[in-house]
Amino acid sequence: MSRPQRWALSVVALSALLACGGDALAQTVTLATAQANPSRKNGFRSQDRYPLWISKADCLADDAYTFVVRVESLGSTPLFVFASAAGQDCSDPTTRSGANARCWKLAEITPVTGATSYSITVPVRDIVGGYDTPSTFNPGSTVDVCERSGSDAPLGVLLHFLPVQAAGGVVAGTGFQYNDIKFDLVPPSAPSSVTAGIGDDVLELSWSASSSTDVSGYQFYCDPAPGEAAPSSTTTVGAAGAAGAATSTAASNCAGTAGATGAAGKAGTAGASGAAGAGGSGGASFLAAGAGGFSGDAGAAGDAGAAGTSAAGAAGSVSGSSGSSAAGAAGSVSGSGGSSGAAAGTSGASGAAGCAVTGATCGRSTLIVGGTFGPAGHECGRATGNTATEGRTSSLQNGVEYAVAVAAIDNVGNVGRISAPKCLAPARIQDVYGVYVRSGGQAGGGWCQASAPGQGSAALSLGALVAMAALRAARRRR
Amino acid sequence: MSARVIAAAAALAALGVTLDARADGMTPDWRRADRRLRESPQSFAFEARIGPYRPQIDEEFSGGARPYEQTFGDGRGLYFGFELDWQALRIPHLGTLGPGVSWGYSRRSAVAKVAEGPLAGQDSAQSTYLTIMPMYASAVLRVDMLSRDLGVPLVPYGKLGLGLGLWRASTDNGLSTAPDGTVGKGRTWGTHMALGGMFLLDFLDPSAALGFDEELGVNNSYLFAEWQWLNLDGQVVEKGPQMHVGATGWIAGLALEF
Repeated sequence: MSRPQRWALSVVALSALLACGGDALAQTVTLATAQANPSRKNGFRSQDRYPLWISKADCLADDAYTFVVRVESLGSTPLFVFASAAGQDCSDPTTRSGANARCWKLAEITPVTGATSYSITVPVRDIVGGYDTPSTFNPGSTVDVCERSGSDAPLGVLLHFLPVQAAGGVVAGTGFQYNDIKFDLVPPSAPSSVTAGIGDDVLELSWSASSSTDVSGYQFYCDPAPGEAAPSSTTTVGAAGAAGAATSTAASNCAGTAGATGAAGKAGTAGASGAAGAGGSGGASFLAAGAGGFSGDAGAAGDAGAAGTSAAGAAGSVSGSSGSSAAGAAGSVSGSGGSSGAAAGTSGASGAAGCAVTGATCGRSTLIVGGTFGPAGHECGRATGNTATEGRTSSLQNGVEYAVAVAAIDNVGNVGRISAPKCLAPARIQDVYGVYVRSGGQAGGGWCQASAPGQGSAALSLGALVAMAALRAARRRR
Repeated sequence: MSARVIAAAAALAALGVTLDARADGMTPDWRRADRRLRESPQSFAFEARIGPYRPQIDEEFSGGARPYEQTFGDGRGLYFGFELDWQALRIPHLGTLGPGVSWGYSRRSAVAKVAEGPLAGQDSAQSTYLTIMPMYASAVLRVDMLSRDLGVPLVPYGKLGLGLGLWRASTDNGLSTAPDGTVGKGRTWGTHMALGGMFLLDFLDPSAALGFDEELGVNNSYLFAEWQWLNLDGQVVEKGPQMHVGATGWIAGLALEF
């Protein structure tokens, strides 16, 4: 049954119940027929498979749904919007309040005399915020609800539109539910075993698939970004920690050997600044902070500290600086970075992989292992399909060394943590035609390019022979 | 079936030994002379062709440069193709003569080496490809008097004509281009010649051959092998720089006359 059909059925059912209920049930509530789905404040993600669902980006961007509800004969009874986990019923007052409440309030509409329809806006943060603690959740809570871990399976939410009387009961036979919303705030896990190979103006990538079950594709990130000029010298990222020495100097592979143990990053310090927003200037060191936009990345600051466990040989230094800057930046946004920053300060114990830093572009890489979200502007290709394990970057520049990493994307567009970056420079390759030309060969230019008079005669002869044969065959068959 | 078996069978036939392929009392005879009145008209021949293919690109250069070998090594690629002949003339007690046209395909690939930078000479992650479509239009003479008049299931033949090769060089990124922007594809004219022999499969199962003719109009089926000279060097039709994409070598396949 389609959504409009369900709505129509609801309307019919409500009407029938009202007809049977007598005078006490003189109220009806219906959705506006012109609106099959709610609208979204930030627009639908039409490129994703489930545009009505809530992604982490939707949550961080404070997206909201707007429902248009048409009301008839509501009188003075307020209209409430509650949410529950899929399959729950909110008509009983005990399900909406008290310690055992399993429904949480999203909106309350006080009837206006003469009004026949109401536009009800429901923030997605409120929808997801009460899912785990419906009995204590308050709409508009500033608690960061967009960070979620664990299973990446989407969670269904049922919205209940209920006229609730003063005594708590729902006007019998009224109300309806909207059940097409799910949320998925858990980005897919990072792909592993990423390898990069040299191509002509491109890098050829392969990886082992993400272990997440809802992967829809993979996004590639390059640093420097495609089209961005390569730096002429190494840039140090943030303040150096007591890093292990960079042990890999090969321009071809940043994975290198394991770096020495690095000191804990300064994430703890920055995190303590919390709302003071004493973040460092290391925005460039971490994607989410640099890409800025998402206050929820306070928690990610902790992750930045953890990055020290796997980032470069310069690992120690990268992790330290990442922790300090990202945590600070995040803290300034949400103030919740303190705790995560502190946790990060205890990590960043060892540098696992070395990344060439001397004179290499990779030394300034913004691609921090395990960072959440990809750095905006650094996208350099994409592979679609959950089974994809290889892909090609978009056009890059030969001779420029790029740090390149891969992140999985799930069905709602969540971009997962990026893989360990690889450092490699595209280069011209010896294709057979290039070798031929450099050897002195002069042929080429196309199949139809004329190079001498009479060039069409033999081709015509071939065609004529074929035509004659076909004609002859046809005549004989007749 | 191995060549030895075919050769032995042909030798037996040449000695006049007739094989009765059936034990039901029928005496099918594969000789055309005995069933000529019953067979359907024959005007065409079709060949499905396959064989190794190594283009003569390196022969274009005289200074030791061997771009093809440098890229693909010293092995051979695979060729397959089709040929359709119009047996316009039947020469009594000799065979058929007529024009034939052929289209073929050969593609070679190899991992491309890095051309520059600190990793120059190492394998890149991309491949380089050379695709060639050899074609020809030739006069084809098939001497089937041995099988038709003497009962020897062998048909020698020869072909002589004009050849054309279309070629295309590419990588995983697409069509190759030279530094001056010239695209890596072109055509090459040349000559075509072939000498070969066909073994008449009707000899192995005359009854099936008869049925094949009655039901589908296929007069004769053959296995064939030939030595082909496809000399595509740009010395005929149009002059100018042309990649030598022709090849010389063995081709084998299945032929049908209908």
